[in-house]
Amino acid sequence: MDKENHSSKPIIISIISLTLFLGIWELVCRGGLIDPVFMPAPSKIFARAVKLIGNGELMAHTLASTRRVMVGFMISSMVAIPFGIFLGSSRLFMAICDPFISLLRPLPSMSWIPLSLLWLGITETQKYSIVFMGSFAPSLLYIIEATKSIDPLLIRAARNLGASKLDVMREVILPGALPQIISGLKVMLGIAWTCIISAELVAAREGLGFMIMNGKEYFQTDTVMLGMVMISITVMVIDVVFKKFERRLLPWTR
Amino acid sequence: MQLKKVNISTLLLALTMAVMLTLAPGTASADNKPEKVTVIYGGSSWLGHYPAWVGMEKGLFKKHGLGVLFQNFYASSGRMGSLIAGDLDVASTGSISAIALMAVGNKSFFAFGTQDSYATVEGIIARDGINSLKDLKGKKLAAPFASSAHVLVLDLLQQAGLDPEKDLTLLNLKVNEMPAAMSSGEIDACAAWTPHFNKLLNMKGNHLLANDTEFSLYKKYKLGPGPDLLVVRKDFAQKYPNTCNAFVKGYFEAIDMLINKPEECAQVLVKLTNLNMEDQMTVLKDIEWIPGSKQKALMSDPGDFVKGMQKLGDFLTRHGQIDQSPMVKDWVTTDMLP
Amino acid sequence: MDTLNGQSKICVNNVTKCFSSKQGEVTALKDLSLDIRDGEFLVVVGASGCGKTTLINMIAGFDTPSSGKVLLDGKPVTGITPECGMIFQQYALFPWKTVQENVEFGLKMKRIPKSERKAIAAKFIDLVALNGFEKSYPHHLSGGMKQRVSIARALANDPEVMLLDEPFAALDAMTRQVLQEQLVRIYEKHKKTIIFITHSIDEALLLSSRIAVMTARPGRIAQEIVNDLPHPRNADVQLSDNYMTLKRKIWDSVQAEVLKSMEVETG
Repeated sequence: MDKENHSSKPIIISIISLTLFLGIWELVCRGGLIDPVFMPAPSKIFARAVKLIGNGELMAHTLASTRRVMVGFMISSMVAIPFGIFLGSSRLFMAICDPFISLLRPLPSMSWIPLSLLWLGITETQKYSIVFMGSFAPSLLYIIEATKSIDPLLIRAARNLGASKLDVMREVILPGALPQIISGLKVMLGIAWTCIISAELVAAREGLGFMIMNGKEYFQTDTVMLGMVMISITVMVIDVVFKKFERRLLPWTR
Repeated sequence: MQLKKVNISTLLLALTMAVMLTLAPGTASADNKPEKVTVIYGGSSWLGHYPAWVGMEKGLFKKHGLGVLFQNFYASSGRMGSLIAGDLDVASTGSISAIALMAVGNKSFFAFGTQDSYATVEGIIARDGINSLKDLKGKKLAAPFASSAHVLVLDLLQQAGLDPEKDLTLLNLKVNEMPAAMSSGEIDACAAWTPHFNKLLNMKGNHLLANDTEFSLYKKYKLGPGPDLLVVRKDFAQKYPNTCNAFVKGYFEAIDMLINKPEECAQVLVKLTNLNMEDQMTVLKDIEWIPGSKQKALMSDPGDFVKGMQKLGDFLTRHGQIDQSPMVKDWVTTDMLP
Repeated sequence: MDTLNGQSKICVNNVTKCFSSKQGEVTALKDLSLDIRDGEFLVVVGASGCGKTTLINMIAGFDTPSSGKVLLDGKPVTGITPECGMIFQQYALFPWKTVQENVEFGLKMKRIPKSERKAIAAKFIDLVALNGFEKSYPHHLSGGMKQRVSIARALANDPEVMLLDEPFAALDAMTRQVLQEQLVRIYEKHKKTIIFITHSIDEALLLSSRIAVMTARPGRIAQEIVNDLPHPRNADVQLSDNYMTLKRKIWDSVQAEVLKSMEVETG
């Protein structure tokens, strides 16, 4: 009870501030001070949302982007986690791979669009690959760092108890680095969203990035802003799901 | 208001200003002098911008005391966005963008003319083996969404009884990305406009499947899917009427030159389009330029152009591209026409 | 009980260990030799920085000597060996594993079936009196409880030798005493060979069957003293003349070293 009282107050304040903000925004737009092409009123964005929810377009775009982000991000994580743990625990392989990682890391996902179009064509795989290329190298670095941050004493203890090097990776490094890996992956998920938006600017016909660009083409700024709001909402929803998942995965941190 | 003064124009504002200093101040009456000597024009390599380019290159704006700065934009939407944001003064635009902007109720611009009619420099190009629109079934067709070519595709597919959602894969691709996508086999057909249209046609194994003459509104009203129109920022037009008149004069002189001396024009146009002279001449032959004398009839309400634009607005609404069809006539002015 | 007559379990033979550091080459141990017999409870006493931990790390196989040899059952120690179960001052429990999972760890590494693991773990959790905490995570436990988990974890793995590196140094005096008594009981019951490192002479006297005193760096064995005080080594024993004599003897033998760096505990 006590806890709830504590947590409900900031929420009420947040709701008031949001309502106030939207109210002022609406009034300014209604007053005709701003051209709706530059800044549509919240009610217009809401009306656009109602329309696009009604014809199913909003859901289709959101799902298309979410699917692309999730597939690209999952593949990236599934490769980066074992690879990162391996690199983080082997100086030799780190030295071998380091130059390549250093070269890949600074490349924005956008820069992969021309090559990915040539190699993979205008396909869904190409969209996944943009998310993958945009999130893989930074994920890998996060995981390598997390791996290196493990207390070497724990590795000694495990080895002393008969763990092989592989056992150490599975039983010590992975769970030990997991809290850091997960917080890193949460950041990466945000990056994956920026990737998919840039991927959908080119040769796409669905997804929130496409919706935003196409809205821009038709000067439907309400559509553009709705697309932006949808990205925020989707990322927030995924974040909540992620947190649930995190608690389950990290019971010892509670 | 009539202008008697003549000036030169260049791409460089500074140069323009310098040239202005060389003008004899007494050749024009003070009343008709342009209030502002520089006009920022939004263009691209598309044929609709030929008159502005020729006017600049051939010194026709200069004759009227104007310097014109030619700003390149890839797409009409970006150009229109810049116009209403106040970064451009005058532009030519594809009508899709103009109608879209009208549809959202933006009143900060006027349409004051339509400079060309073309039907054979935009169309669908397919690789060999695809001999009819029906053959596109199950194939990959690319078009730049929210463009005249996109509208053409939607219309032609409808005529052929094909559903763009189910019967084939319609891809959203920029025209400048199409040659690579066609040669890699990525797409089977694409809808594009000149000069990319000509480049695509010149590529081995490609041929024309359909052009704007097949467009349903063209068959009935001789209206293409994205006729060009000239637009001006409303507050610019109100503030600088003499400047606008000077621009219009120089502009339609350029059109006269395009009609009468196409070869001379082509020589300067290749700098804009990067086409070879032969292709450039072919493109020019396919354009019907509309001289200043015919503008008023088209642009007045109910002129043919205004009626056609209204039909196009209705078409876009039917295809779900815009929310509602705007009253096009509310955005048209004939005040600036000669 | 005469532990001295047992077999030589561990033989440290002329071991020298050098490290390179920012200040240059540091010799931690110099020609150190030490024999530990089977079933012995050897306590190594030395000032901080004398190389005690280096010595125990080499016996556990975490480190290799720069010269000389470490033999376990007559065979050279070449790598980390589970036969020498290590207990660290900082517990080194896996924070993501429950008490039970920590205790089961060595068994899991031996691929012992789950049900069997559970039974063995239960036995050792009982031994260190942590019943009821099986499902707790380490960060919910006090320092003393954590060290008991660590002891149970090492014992469950059934090593022949137990290596304890200042295991009670971070604990408060009361807890330390309880754990010392528990360790002695475990030693008497399980008859492991134990090497225990401390800087406390009293702790050495309370626990050991033999005491090796180390010099300051570079570490060597200054003296080896047999501790034949009777068990249990309660307050009476600690006040006996014998105890005082032994304490004086150790003190004298390492006085120079102690004066340099050793912190004297007077329990």
